[in-house]
Amino acid sequence: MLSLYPFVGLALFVLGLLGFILKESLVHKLISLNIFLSGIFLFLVSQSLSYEKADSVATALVLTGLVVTLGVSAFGLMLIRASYGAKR
Amino acid sequence: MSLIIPSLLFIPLLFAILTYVFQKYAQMLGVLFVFLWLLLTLIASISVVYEGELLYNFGGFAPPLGISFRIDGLRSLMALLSAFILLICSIYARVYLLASLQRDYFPLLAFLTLGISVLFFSTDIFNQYIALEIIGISAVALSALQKDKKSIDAALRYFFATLIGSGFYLFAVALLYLRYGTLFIDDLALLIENDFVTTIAFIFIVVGLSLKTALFPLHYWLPSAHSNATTPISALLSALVVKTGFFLLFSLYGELFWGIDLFVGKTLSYLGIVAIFYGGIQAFFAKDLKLMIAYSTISQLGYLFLLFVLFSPMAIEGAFLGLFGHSLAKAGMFLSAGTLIYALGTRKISDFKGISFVFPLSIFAIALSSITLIGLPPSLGFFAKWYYLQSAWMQQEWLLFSALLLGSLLSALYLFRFLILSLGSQGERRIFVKEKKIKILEWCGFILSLSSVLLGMFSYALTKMMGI
Repeated sequence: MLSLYPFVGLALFVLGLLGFILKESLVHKLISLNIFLSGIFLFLVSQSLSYEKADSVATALVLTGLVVTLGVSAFGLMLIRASYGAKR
Repeated sequence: MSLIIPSLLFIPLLFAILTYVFQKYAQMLGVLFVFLWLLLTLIASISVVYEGELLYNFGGFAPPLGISFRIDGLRSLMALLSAFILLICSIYARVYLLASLQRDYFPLLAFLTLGISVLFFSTDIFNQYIALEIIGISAVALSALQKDKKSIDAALRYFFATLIGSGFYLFAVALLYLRYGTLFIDDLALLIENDFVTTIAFIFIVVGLSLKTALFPLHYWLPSAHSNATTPISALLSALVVKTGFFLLFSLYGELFWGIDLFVGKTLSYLGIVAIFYGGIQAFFAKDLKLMIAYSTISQLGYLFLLFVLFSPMAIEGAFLGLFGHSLAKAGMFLSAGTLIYALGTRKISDFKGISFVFPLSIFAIALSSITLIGLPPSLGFFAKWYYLQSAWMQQEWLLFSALLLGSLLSALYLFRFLILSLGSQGERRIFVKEKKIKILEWCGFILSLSSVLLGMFSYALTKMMGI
């Protein structure tokens, strides 16, 4: 069965990357980056689901990746805030 | 001996947490940690020499069920090199940095070490993604340590570059897992085929890791991040952090993609040639001392990428001799330049006129580093280029051959420009900061630069230890 999810994942991947390159604002860039990474996760998890049953390794990878992305985004937000607040 | 691999992984983690929790004792614990880490990597290298490859399966489960860690000759040497540089840079940082910055420095350093050891020893491509993220985040945090506007902005650019790089790598890992159903590198090496999905994954790995290693068109973040960070951290970033991306690219290329590659290796090498000249020319015209050294890093990284078109055992040995030489020489150069900048309070190259009369040891260290970077005997850089030239000669790669020779000339140009200025007659008298701690700082840089030259005499033993 041809599923829609992998294509959505790829579309998010490309859109996130485009947004990252084209947007000027740092917060926009960070959000685009999150969309880009979500695209990868959606692609991975939906492709591995298209076998008979859920693939536990792929699920674990995506979970780990989500945690990493959360930490990284928090760190990025702190950096952006510091960049706007720092004295010259 | 079976405990050596777990301790190589858990000691950095333990000390990262300890130095963060017990901030009062962070400096003491941090120094203890770098010594302990050097000792551990030394034990690991010695046992690899006597017993051969070390293997450890966590929880006793062999792959593909569990995750195994492996130390062979090359990996143990890389770990030993990074331990030595971490030790000297930490001693330098202990003297150079303010106490409040040191409390942030040591936990981040331990996390960086953790990432480095996972990246070198793991045999699982997803684990290596995690290692890339740990290294990237701790390196970005380190480069923003000073908390001034310039370094934070440089760190942000570095942050976005490193995240996009590891995102590309993650996408490639996802593709490889979906195609082959395993993440264990030895299984992948058996299964790998030359098809569309694999090629796409390969290209994503190459682009992502080139971004992290600052190969020519993707180098935009490196000069500002490396030159605006505080001195001991510039040394760490240039000497170790960029090399981790290269090492991962090399190990994946060697084990998985070498047989199926048609054009990517060639492209990487030709970009490397462009990087050698672009970095050298930018370094020649740079007006800021640290910026010049940062551009020199881009040029020297270009040499490493020449490996991908040759890829004979001799070229691999040459590339890693060059990597060791560049790491030691560049760390020594950054530390010595940082000492001078601290003493003079300026970074403009033209202000360093005649400085060798005041700080002879630092200028001597920079000269020794220059010997390695240009590739004069008996330094590591000389043997690296010699091995490279021989294998380029044998494989009839004349473009590479001439690029290697002209590249040396270009490095000589920009390095001698600074040395001649500093050895020349003294300009008007200026006031220098003369403190006792300057002596220690000068010696730290000198030890690294000297070792980059002296180790060249042991390059045959080193290539034997790599076991390629």
